Amino acid sequence: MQIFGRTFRRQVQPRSKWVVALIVFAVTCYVIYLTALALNLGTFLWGAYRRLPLLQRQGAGHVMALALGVVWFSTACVRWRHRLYLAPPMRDLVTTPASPWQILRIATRMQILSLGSVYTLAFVLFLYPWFSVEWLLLLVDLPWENLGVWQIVLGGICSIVSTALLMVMIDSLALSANLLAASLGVGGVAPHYAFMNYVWAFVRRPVLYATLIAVGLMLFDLLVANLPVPVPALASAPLVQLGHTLLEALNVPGSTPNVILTRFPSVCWFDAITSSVRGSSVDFQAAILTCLAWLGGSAALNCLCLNRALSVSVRSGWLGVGAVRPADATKSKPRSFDPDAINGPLEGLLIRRIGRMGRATLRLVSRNAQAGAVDIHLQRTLLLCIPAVLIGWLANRLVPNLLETFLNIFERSANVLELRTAGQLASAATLFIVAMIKIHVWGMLSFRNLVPPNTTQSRDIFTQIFQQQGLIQRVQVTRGDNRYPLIEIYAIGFKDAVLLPVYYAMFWLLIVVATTALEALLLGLPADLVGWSALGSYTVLLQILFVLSLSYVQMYAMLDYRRSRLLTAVQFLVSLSFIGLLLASVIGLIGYLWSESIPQNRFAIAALGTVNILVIVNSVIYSLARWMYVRRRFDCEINSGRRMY
Amino acid sequence: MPEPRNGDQPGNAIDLYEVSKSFEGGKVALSSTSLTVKRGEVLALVGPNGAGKSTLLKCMAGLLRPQSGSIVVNGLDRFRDHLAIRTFTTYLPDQPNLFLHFRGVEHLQLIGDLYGVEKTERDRRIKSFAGLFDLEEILDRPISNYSNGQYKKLALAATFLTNARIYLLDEPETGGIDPPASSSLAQIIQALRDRHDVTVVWATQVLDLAQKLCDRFAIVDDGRIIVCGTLDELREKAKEPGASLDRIFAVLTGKAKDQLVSDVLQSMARSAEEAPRRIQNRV
Repeated sequence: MQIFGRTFRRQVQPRSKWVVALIVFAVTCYVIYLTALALNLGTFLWGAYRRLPLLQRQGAGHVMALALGVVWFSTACVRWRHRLYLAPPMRDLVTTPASPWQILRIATRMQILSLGSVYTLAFVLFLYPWFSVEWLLLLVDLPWENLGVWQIVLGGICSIVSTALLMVMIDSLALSANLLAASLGVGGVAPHYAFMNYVWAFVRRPVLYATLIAVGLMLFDLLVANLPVPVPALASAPLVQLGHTLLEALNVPGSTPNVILTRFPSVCWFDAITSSVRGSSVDFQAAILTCLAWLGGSAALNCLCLNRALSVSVRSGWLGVGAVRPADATKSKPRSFDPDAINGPLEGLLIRRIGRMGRATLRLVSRNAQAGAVDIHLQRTLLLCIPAVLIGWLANRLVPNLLETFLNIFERSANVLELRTAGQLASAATLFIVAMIKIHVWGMLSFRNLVPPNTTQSRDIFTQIFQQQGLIQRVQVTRGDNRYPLIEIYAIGFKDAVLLPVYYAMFWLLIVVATTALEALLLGLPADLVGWSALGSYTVLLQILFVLSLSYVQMYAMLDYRRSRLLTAVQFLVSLSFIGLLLASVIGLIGYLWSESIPQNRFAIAALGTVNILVIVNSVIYSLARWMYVRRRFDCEINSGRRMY
Repeated sequence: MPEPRNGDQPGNAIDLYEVSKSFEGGKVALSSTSLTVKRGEVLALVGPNGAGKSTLLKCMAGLLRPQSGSIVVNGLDRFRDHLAIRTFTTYLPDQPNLFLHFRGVEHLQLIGDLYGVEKTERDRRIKSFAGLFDLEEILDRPISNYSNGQYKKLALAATFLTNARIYLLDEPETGGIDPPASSSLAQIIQALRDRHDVTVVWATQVLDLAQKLCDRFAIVDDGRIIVCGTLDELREKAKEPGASLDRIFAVLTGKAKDQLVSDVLQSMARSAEEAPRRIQNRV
């Protein structure tokens, strides 16, 4: 009997032994890299911790442990909510007679071969240098032989045990928090009190970020206090003083902040590990008992809330809030422009120059906004830049010494290295990068919120690639999950996909760089420095965007037409190495040109020479990328009859 | 409106009374829909895409709660007595979600345990269904390594492993399963039809198969059940004596689009002639 049904194309192919070998090799390299990184980081940080004066050692450690605990607890809460309630297979279990206990068992089932396990291993290795040195210090007093073996074994066991203690404690508390919230009607798939969603959305991030900022200020204060060279300007800055005040408040024994700090789970754990081998037994006992109390408390809370928190009404989306909506139920986003019309003078210019198919490529650059709205995207960027400039100006008024201190540090470093011009440029470039990050992050957050979460297109090329490789899980928000890459829907020519984004970026960057330069002037930088930096950063950023556009096109071609992953990986590495070498040569060449021309005040030669070099190199890269693109396209067309269907 | 009764009393398997469900954004998926599913029958839910079949099944399965109306399953209220109902109903979604880090056999064991199937019986059933759906060789692999078809076949095996008396199947024949598995599925539905204590509600787009296997048919369109009855009753309503379900469906839903199909085909042919030139220009 032949039954015809819907079939979904899925780009999963049986892995050849070469691909498996490549994956094993890559994973091995990654694990070795992570091992070396974790061990070295552990050695460095624990060494630095030991070198701190005794009085400041505990404070710094506590603040670090608090930062670690806050971040881990926050992520663990989100992870457990997903595991218990929001994961699609969990939600499908609503239709089965699964008991709360069975649900909990399924949710707590560990994945041994996962990225989380690798990070746990890395954390064990990070802790290892602490215990290994502690045991060494203890063992040298004893007449034992083979100290090295004992040191390795005992250090390893201690770091494994202490990692397990921290993980279990944080996870158990996060689980308890979820179960408690669900049983109170403010958690689960669809919270009973729907307004809590809004309250939580408003409260969660400010609280987390405020805590992290406070921790960061305290750590910065500790860093400033322990610098080998005194920096009075930095130490007297109001923000650093704020960190100092917070730190002092936390360190008053018996005060409420101090009690909260020392009883915080990760801080107790830190006290336990630092006093476990060569520390006060009273401290160790107190710390470990607090850890056990947290564990006991969370276990009791779990038992208390289990039945209610994992009941069907909490796990189902019966209130309608958490129901998976069909794709056609998604509210269409009101468009602020007509996608088939010309929405402004710049867009008109681009469309006339490139052609109407160029609209789709705008998604590649301004994918947070909708395709085709160049002028509107630019207008929004401008609207976001103006408050950014004002905030920068306000920050300068509030913290006047901070900028001067930063600049002084750069100037001093430059003087030491006898690179005065480079030092000035570096300081200006740093400010520009900070401003860019600020604008980009702000813009990204604002634009992302404009896009409805149920869009059927995956917006990010990296997300698409990672999803296909199984590195991240596909988020199933609608049943209309689109499995086709963008290029299949919008056939994009090579010229459109590269040149149009670059032309577009020329306008966009002009606004961004101009407002950043304005901000830099308001911050008090010298006008000539700002001018040169703005010109330099404009050229560099444009160059980066040009290379990125090329890379995007190449990656889309890989995504669409990839057949042999091994071959593609090799081609990718070869082209990457070639482009890397080319860019390194260009940077070297431009650097030489500048070093020969700028000190003699021949700026025009420097600028014209740079443009000349860039034009030649860009033509080479463009031709190379186009050749690869066309080859792949024709390969696809040749092989399509045999392999695509 | 039928009153909920004790689950053991004889009566209809499922009663839907004036069920309405709409989603955020204004989409009305079900609009005052009433339906009766008799005990021991195989009922086919057929209708165009987006008609509301899946939403109807999800409401029956207890995944979605309608805004108004009532659903009574075996005499029990769907949302008040959900704990009791879940022990004898099973639901296969259109796109099942399985635990990707489980091995196939672990998933089947888990489902068997959830439905209280005795261990030796569970293992026996796993073996039989693995044979039936050609899954023996892959049961020990993680589900994340399964192909689309294997994934769907595992979900099918898990559905029929249970001790359920009411099966809610949302397009089980789709999702890339191979012809032997489709044949096995048809045989299973045939076998369930022969058991008078088992009820199957089957949302499907494969009308010729539905015509062979189902006792009654409910045609859903635009959130409403426009007609429900046996094939003869449907023929009578459509005034098409001796017509196939396919034809009746087209007549009753107004989806007979022969002229439209020929227009689209002509347009595609014209476009195909021009495409190579356009692509050449772009590259």
